[in-house]
Amino acid sequence: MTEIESRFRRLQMKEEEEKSLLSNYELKTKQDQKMLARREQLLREGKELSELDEEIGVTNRMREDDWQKASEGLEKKYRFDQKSTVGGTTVEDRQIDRKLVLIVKQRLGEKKGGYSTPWILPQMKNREGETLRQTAERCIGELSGTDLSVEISGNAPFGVYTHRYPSPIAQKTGATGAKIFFYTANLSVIPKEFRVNPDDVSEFQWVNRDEFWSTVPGTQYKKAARYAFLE
Amino acid sequence: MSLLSSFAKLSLLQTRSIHQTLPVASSVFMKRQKKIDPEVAKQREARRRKRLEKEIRQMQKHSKKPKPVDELTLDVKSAKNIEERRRPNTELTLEIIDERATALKDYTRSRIALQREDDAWIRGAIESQRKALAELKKLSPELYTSAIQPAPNDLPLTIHGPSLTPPIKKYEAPDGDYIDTTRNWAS
Repeated sequence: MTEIESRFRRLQMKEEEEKSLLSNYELKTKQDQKMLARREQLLREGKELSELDEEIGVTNRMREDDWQKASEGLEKKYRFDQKSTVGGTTVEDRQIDRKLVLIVKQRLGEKKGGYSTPWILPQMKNREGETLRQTAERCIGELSGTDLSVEISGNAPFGVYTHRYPSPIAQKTGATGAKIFFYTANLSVIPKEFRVNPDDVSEFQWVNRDEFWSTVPGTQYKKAARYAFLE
Repeated sequence: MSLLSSFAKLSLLQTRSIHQTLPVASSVFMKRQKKIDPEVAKQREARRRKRLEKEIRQMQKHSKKPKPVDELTLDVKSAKNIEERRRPNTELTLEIIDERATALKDYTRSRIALQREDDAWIRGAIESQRKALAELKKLSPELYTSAIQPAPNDLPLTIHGPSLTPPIKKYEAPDGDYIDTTRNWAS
């Protein structure tokens, strides 16, 4: 919550409380207070407390103390106040309130341990007779080292980037460049442990939008992929 | 006495195979079946049927009840001492009134800004997708036609989270059964 939101919320809650009626619990608290005052008075006058016997029960104050104790015990046991760790590489450890995207350093070429790309979104070449979505599914399947449950949203790509090869590669392959189409895929279940296929990927990390802009090279590429982040 | 009949007495086989209970042997606790007049039986049957029908009607009537709006229904039990429940009036100072007004204005402005941002994002995303599809059409019409097909299996999309706190490691769920007592209302 932003500062404006939390301030508005606080004031709204106060206003609502002013307008509301007393709840059963609050009535009980009032009654408890009355009872305690009477007891004090009786003690001061040195009279018997027997006439209060029926009224003395569990006061709300006692209950609140019990709850407080129980909540402290749970706090100690589970440590709820612990902030999500920012440094971790796993999905579940990193900033749970941000949208994260997987970027990789992908190995290309035939031989293993060959050239690896700069930080990019995972990519794969479209094969003959395959739709783009199937390529995206294959890409996820081949790059991940564990079974993932992933939902690709829609058949249409959300963006395109035209990549021009530098002249030596262009001469070698006979093509001037490549077009990269982007798809989004959401992890429907956050895995306990996330691994990548070491044959295809040399490094990976989960980044939020700001980190994406600072780590991934190529402004045009990043602009084309910017709708991967919904924030 | 002939020889044959004395043999029959000696025989181990039971001569009388039908066993009959004597009236004395029946228990006194057994309820004797009353013979009912068929007319009366018919009447009783009709009555029972009527009662069952009525019960079914009642059940149907209750099952068709729409979900009550909690905010609109009066809690009779709590309404009895409603006068006890009133809070003392709070006198608002000028500062507090001002603070609330400015907070509301700030909040409204922030919502408008958020809406504009979202709107820009959606427009941008649609434009980006349109561009991508146009490029794809130029490259390969087949891929384009496959890309513009609707994907009904993707919907409805359910996304869980993000949660406020990270998952608790080594959390032991308390023992017990989960019984859902939520009442179903007519939709």
